[in-house]
Amino acid sequence: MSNGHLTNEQLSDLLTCTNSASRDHLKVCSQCRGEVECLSESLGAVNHLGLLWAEHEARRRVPLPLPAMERWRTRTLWAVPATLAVVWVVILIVNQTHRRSEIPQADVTPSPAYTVADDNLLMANIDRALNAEIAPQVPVSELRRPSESAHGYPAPRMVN
Amino acid sequence: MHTLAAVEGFQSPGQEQAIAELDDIDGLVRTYRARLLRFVMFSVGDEDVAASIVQDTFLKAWTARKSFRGDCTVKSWLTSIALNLVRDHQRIRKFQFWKKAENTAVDAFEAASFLPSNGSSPENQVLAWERARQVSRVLEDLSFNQRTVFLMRFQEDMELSEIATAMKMPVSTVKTHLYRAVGAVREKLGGIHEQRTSDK
Repeated sequence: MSNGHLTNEQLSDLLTCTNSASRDHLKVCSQCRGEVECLSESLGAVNHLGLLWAEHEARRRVPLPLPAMERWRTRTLWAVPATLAVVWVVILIVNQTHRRSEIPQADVTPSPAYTVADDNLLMANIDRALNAEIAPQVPVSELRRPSESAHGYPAPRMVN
Repeated sequence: MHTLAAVEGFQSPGQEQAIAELDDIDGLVRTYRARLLRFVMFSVGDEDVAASIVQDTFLKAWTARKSFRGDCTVKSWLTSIALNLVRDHQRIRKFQFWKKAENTAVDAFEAASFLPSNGSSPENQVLAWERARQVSRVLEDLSFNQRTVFLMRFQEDMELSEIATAMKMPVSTVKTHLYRAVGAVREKLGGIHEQRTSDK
């Protein structure tokens, strides 16, 4: 107690009914008793009027169902399909990548010897058949005689 | 040392009841909206912002209801969430210094004075309104921490330990804020006290 009166701490405890020791002081000190009563009534008035106001306003300003809740639900409604779409695309991409990596590589094993010999024989036969079909060509020396025509007579001279 | 509550899957009957209460969003809003609106209104002093914060509080509580551990009442938990949102708003307000609140808690009492109050005479109503107005004016002048602690203690009936948890500060600091707030209110309301004693 300061100057024989209640301190802020004691007053605070009295207002929340947690200190019974200071109650004895109230019996003998009318000033502190008046102060506690006044504060208690004032706080009661604040709380009561505040709650009256809040009950009146809450019905209007915090309606049921909550607008914030509705907004959240709408957002969730959009978010679920969007998330599913993203997941689906990711799965698709992963699947494609996985498939690509699973394609078997071409085996480059050497052919057996008998296959090579058969192939060579076949190619030689083809060469031979082609050579037989083509007529013997005119030798290059024959092509270098411009004074004679192809049939052996001298070519006619040009006179201006 | 592990308590029973810490064991995975174990829920005390009180916690189960609280979780069931949190699951019913409409019931939750109906039960606590007025008290929360009053607390937030005194904290931010703007009806529109207060209503928005209260709505966000319920939404946050509903989405985070699984994380409720049951170590405090649902009311205290909701108040803590609201306090965090009020803090966020205060932080934003620092950068919006040109904006003025549309309405204050005192203005709200002006409106509330017209509301019907059962069983009290018009004189008592006027007196109660005058006292409420004076206290709310004093609260407006307090620092954010002092005002919040004062409201949580005397309006929301929260324990000092609950206030300390909600405000993330030691109980001793909470006490300091509380006693300074009581001192300020006591000093400012001296007028009423003197008036009352002179009336007698």
